[in-house]
Amino acid sequence: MEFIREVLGIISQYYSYLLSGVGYTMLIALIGTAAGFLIGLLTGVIRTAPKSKNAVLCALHKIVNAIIAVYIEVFRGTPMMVQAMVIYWGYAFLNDGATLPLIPAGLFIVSINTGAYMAEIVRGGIISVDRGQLEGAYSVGMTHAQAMVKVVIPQVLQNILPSISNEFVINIKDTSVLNVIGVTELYYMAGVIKRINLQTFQVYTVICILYFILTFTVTRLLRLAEKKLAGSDNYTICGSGSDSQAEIHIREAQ
Amino acid sequence: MEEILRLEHLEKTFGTHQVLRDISFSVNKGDVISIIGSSGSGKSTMLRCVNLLEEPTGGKIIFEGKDIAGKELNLSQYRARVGMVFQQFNLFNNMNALENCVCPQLTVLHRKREEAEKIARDYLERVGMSAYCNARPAQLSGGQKQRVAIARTLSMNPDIILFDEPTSALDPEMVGEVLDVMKRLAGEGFTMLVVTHEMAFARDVSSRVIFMDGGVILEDAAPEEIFNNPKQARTREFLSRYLSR
Amino acid sequence: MRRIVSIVLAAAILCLALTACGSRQKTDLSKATTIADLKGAVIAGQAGTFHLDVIDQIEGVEKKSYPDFTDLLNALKSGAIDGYVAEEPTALEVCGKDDTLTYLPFVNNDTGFTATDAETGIAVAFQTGSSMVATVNDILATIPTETRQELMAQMVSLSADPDTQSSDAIVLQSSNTDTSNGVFRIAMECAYAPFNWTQTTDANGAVPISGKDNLYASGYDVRVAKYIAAELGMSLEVYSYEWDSLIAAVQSGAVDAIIAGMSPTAEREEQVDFTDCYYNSNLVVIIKK
Repeated sequence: MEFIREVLGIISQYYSYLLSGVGYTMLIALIGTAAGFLIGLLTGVIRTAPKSKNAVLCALHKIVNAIIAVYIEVFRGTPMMVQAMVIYWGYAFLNDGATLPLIPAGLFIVSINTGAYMAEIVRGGIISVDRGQLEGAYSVGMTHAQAMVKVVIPQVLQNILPSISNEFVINIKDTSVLNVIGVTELYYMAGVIKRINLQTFQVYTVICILYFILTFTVTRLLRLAEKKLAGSDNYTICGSGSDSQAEIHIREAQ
Repeated sequence: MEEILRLEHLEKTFGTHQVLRDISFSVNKGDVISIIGSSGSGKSTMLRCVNLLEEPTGGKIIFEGKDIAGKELNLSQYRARVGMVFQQFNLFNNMNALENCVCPQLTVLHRKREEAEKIARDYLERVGMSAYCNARPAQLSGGQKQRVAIARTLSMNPDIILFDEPTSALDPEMVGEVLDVMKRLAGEGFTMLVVTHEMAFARDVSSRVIFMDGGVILEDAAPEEIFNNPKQARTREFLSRYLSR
Repeated sequence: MRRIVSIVLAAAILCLALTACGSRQKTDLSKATTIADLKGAVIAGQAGTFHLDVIDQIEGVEKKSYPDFTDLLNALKSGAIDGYVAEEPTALEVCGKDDTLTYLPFVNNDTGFTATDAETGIAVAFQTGSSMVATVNDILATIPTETRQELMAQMVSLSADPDTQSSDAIVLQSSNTDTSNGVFRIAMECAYAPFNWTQTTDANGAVPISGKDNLYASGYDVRVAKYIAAELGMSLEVYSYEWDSLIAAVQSGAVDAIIAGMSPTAEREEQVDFTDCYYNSNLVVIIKK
């Protein structure tokens, strides 16, 4: 099997390049997802904050909300590859040829792109938390900020964890578009190896397998984490395909 | 008698719909006031206005002699002193029973954790829920949740407790356990404002009964007066429907 | 039972789909000797290059384009295309490595094709109005045509095994070792052998690619760039960009010059200023034997 021999040859000869590509891909995906989540959390909290009675604050809130809305629409409505090109070259043209360092540039692009998606996910998460939770917190004297931090956001986190995992897996794959600005993630490395040995199909087979290993492992790990976090009182398993005896188990737990 | 709370000409409109009109009454220390009336009469809205979950559109609320709209009272401190028990319990789903009672003490009253836990355990004991300290709201029955909610409110050592139809969301066999707790509180001298459909509670436990209809207070008198000798035709009609069941 | 049926159905649909794809009707070019014999074939060029435009001059062929030069060779080997347009040095390099390939020269006027020197030569590009053009022209003028041919021949042979140190010295060397005049930053694809390529060691004086760990650039462009930088008294930095980003890189000032096997076509002259050509070659069409 010539093909398998060539694939193994690529792995043994270029493993250091492939590993460094995997490293940058995971680094950018992980930090990008985390930063995007923080952006989403911040915008979500701002957008769901009650109107202030102070006229100035109220106006400011409206302006900030408008900016957030534009941000979300623009970054969700355009491809990340195009954003990468616009940001990278736009910066170079505006700053007289100073270019962004590649890895931080990649991190920045993935973060703000993920942030735009997370903003909607978090807002949905906050809205879906029962209004009574907020009222309960208000009624004992908590301020809106305290209610958010102590009561609402912990519940939002648990509810949107599957969405965050999903974004992370998407980001592992989507960092590949950063090759257009030359970020040395896994896909870029495949291009480099291909240009050296001209074995296009073999090289992309190797990174295809690598991407799959990454996403598959991450998905399993995150699912495990979700189960841990949900704890024993996970009532969502009711009627789920994953546990045919769900009802019995719930009864026993009680 | 020492006055705690007084409403003066309280008004509330939602859009063009006026829900409360000229609501005035006062609450003295130790009063247990039941507020009765048919659905849509504005009793829940009135209660929610008292702790500002709804903002009144007119009138005044005087708490311990101070207008709560004024600068002297901070909203957070005021709410901490006016407890509220909801129809839907509104326990914090992300915390166990004990934490539900401890967390507000820490964040709002800035009590030390040890002290807060001691107080919380004490009140959970008094509502008969000390065995369920580690249970999450999702693992509790409706009646148990409501008792934890009462313990949470009590842990804040409020000067007055508002009950917004505390038994309406409960299965009939659980109503008793919650009412028992409320009766005990009334006996211990807590000041309570109770919106309820439990006529027996209104008649036997409360020191005063307010009958509301169409957003106004039609009658405000001692329970014997209201139940045995109602002045208004509307009150009689309402009571006859309830008591004949 | 239902599961078996569905598997069988899925397999049947897959087979149908695969046979429907089938293989492309290939044009037999084994006896082709001139460009005119390419009639009916599928010929490709790199997107955004003169190579692609020149296909229009071949009668009766289907034109295809790929963004990456390396993909053209893969496309030819896989049978997706019958041939692709390249420069003669590339053809020498590619056909040297793979004896199933050959090439048809695309000689100006001789074979009925027209191209200006600007379209077949390659030059250094600077920002419009740059005073560097005249300076670099003076430096380029010191490289005789024979040296250019020799250097290219050397690069063609080096590119066969770039990571192994060769005993031959590079023919184009500057005697100037002073680098006190700063940094000369240039952009290239590092994917267009033998003009510029990527390798994994610094064998044979390859230059590290800026911002990419353990990757080095070498090739004809790199040698000329090294020579120009040395003559300018500057040190050299090589940046790797996609073909379509090269002009933007020099316009924005991210690099000082493009030295990337780029022909000074009229369209590009509107965007950047070119020096005189530092190599002139013929266009060819690389095909299977």
